[in-house]
Amino acid sequence: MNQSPIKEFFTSCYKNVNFMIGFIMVLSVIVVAIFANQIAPYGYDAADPTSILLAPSGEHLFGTDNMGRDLFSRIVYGTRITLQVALIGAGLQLVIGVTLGLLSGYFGGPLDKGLTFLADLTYCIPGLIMALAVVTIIGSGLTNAIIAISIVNWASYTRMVRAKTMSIRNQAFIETGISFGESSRSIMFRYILPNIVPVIIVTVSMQLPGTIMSTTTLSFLGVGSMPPSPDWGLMVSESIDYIARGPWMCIFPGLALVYTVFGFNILGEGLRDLLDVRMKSQ
Amino acid sequence: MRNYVLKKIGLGIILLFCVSFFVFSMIYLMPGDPVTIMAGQLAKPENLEALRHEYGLDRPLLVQYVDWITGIMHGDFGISYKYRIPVWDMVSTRIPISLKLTVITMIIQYAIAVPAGLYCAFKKDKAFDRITVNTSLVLTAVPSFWLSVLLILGFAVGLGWFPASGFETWKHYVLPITAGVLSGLASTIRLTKSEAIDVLNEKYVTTAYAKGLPERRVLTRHVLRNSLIVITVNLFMSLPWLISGYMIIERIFGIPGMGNLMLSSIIQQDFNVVQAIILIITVLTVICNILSDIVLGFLDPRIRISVTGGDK
Amino acid sequence: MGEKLLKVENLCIDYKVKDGYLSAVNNVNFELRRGEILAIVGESGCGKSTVAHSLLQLLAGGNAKVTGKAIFNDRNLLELKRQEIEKVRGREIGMIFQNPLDSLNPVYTTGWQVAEGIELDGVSKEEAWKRVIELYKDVKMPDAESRAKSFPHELSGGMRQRVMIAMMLARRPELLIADEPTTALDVTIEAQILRIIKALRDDFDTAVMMITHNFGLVAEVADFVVVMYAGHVVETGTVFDIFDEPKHPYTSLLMKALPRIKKTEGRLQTIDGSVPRITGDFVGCRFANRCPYATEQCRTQEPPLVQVSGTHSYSCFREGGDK
Repeated sequence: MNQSPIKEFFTSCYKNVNFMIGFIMVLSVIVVAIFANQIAPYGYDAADPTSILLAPSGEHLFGTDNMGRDLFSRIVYGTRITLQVALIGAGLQLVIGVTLGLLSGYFGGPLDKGLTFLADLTYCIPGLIMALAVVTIIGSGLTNAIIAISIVNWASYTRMVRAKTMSIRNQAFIETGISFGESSRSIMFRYILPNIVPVIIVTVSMQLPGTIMSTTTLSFLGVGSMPPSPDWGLMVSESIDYIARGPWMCIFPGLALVYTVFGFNILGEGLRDLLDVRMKSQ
Repeated sequence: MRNYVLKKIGLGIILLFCVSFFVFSMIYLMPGDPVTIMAGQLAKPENLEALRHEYGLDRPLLVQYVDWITGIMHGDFGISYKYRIPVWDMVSTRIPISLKLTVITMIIQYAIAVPAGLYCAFKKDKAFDRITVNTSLVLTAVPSFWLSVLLILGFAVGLGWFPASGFETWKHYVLPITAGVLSGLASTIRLTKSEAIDVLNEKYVTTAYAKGLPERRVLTRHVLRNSLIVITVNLFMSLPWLISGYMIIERIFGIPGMGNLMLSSIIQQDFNVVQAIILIITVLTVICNILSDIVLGFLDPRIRISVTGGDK
Repeated sequence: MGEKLLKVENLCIDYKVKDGYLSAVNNVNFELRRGEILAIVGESGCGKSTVAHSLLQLLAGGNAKVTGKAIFNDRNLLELKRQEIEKVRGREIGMIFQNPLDSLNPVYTTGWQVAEGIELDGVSKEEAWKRVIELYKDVKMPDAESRAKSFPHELSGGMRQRVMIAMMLARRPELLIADEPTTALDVTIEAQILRIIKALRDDFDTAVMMITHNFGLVAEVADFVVVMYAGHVVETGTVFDIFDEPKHPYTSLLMKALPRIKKTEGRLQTIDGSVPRITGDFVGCRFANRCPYATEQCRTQEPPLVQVSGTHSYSCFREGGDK
């Protein structure tokens, strides 16, 4: 009965099955990424011409690819790329989305109108098309792919943050702050931002799986990571030519990707239940 | 209703204008020079100048844009930098292929997802619902490119039932369409279910029961009818997304659709073609948006009033 | 006194929740005769709406456990099969709801929605539409013909409630359940709606079960009153019993919370606290935590039912109630 709110929150985290499973899955990916050097028996680019397209065995847990590289090691190193995508992607989208959302929701007026129009515009163009257009302009590569996906995704963040900011802006404590002579910046970042943190957390966790999936798709299409990167999307795309002789080349990277995305997905669902943020897509 | 449609068409035109300008300026936002790309790195400077003049790239930007957009309105998308043939000739044969596949996929997807979603909503937390919810949770984590490759591995390489690529017979369509249907199925089921549940909780459904209507009539005339508003709008809105998502599937199964062309053009830096395809897909998007708004107006009387500035 | 129409006996409704059962309605008993208006009064969340919905098997979610009896025309409503209760709804018992905007389907014209019920009796479409127009005139709907072709959002709150009443009167039910019929409406409209309901009773001998939190409304229309608190009936009686001689502290407090024209008391009294959540193993009086007279006994024992007269009873340990 007399638990502190924080303790209570952790107790409910513990009880939330989705959150716990998702948390453990994501944590396992993070652990693998950190200890990749210790876990992987071979280097991610250690080609061995004498052991090409070997089936999974004790020596090569997931088999080897067409260049004789150990797939298990490549997948282990691939976690680093995936997490890099998640971190940079979420960071970029957060900075763009939260800033624009705060400005738009706080000031309203023509700025808000303009940003809303821009957001509507982005919503109208299919994401993959826009990402490809951006990549065409700024060039291929993993970082550029992440930037492209972030440019596609910023609007969802901005919308959420904007809506929440507007509802908080009309509350009494903001008026109090203004009457005490707080600057707009201080009100946005010290009064409003802390109140929208749950919404931001939930938005991030809901967008992350999509960010990972889209970036991997760009790598698969050949405009993201470049060989010899152990990017899972790139690995699946490299596997197509050898699909009959070495099906493991396509199966394991895909499984790793599904595992990670699924983990992030249900972690997000759990967080949404826990933070009780009601969001509907429309 | 007429004003409403006109307003929507007007918004669509503004959108098209913005996108077309963005697409047009793409070529100037890029670090490279289109003429160099066309002629190759080793071309002589005087040849480059000639090419620049031939393609009209030496004139002011706005003049070029007006020319470009006027050309497009007459079906002239310019000449491919790479293949030196009209872009429209390259693209036009591919549009029907992509559209055909997407529409078939969409019909099958909704034919499965809508009944399944409704059934899940009516029998919430029963066996079928639980199985569907868990399956779709996993399915949303599976990227369509991997799904396609797995289908090839299973049904083309493994069982040998269907060919792995090409587009000659109906057999060629089976795997790509399956991949397309599966990749959007989970989200459509989810949408249908959550919409139907929302409607089921509406008070007017209780009223319909209280009137003494038989359950079947309540479910069809009230719950289904009202859920269909959002579902139909979603159908129209998702068509362009499906077309662009099909890009991946076209690529994997070697189908000569728009998406496949766009991808190879990006890699070959054939920007005229890329521009044309982006623009065509945007036009499709705008058309779909307008269509969905019109359909929404027909399905939901509240919209007609609020947008035309009716009495309230 | 008319013949007995509805007799509710030991009605209990429990909701299954994560940690056991939540008792929404416990051991409720009351009777209703033809031509009578019965008011069930209480704060929101006291279970009065739940009682009403349970009579027509309209409780949502399917996680409610309903026990007891509700004998209506010699049948237990609670045990009827789906097809049987569908025939009772609208035909024998009509029900109107609190918020008439949410309660009408936005995509059909109001007339269509009224006609839909009438057509269940095998009436042709044209015939049903004629009935709709007549009904609209009966409920004093201005400009009946064009209103029947309007969509719900094109009508005002009062007009929408008239549509609801017309819809539920369409098939001449013997009992009309009105769940907070005037809550969302302003006072003049409220008076008109009440007049329609009273006229209905006078003209057709319809019994009315009115659910409300407003004692003012009770005084105006009701013959009998059932006061509910946290799923319990705390006091029942004729409207005169209750107003002249309220016995249960909760009844008295509710009446003090009533705004009066004469400003005899300085300010509007409110009752502190809120209705408790009652789970399976609750003992004692459910009002104890908010009752100004609560004693140790109230928290440990269920209060007895005290019969004041043939019509008036209450359940409390206090002799003489709030005096």
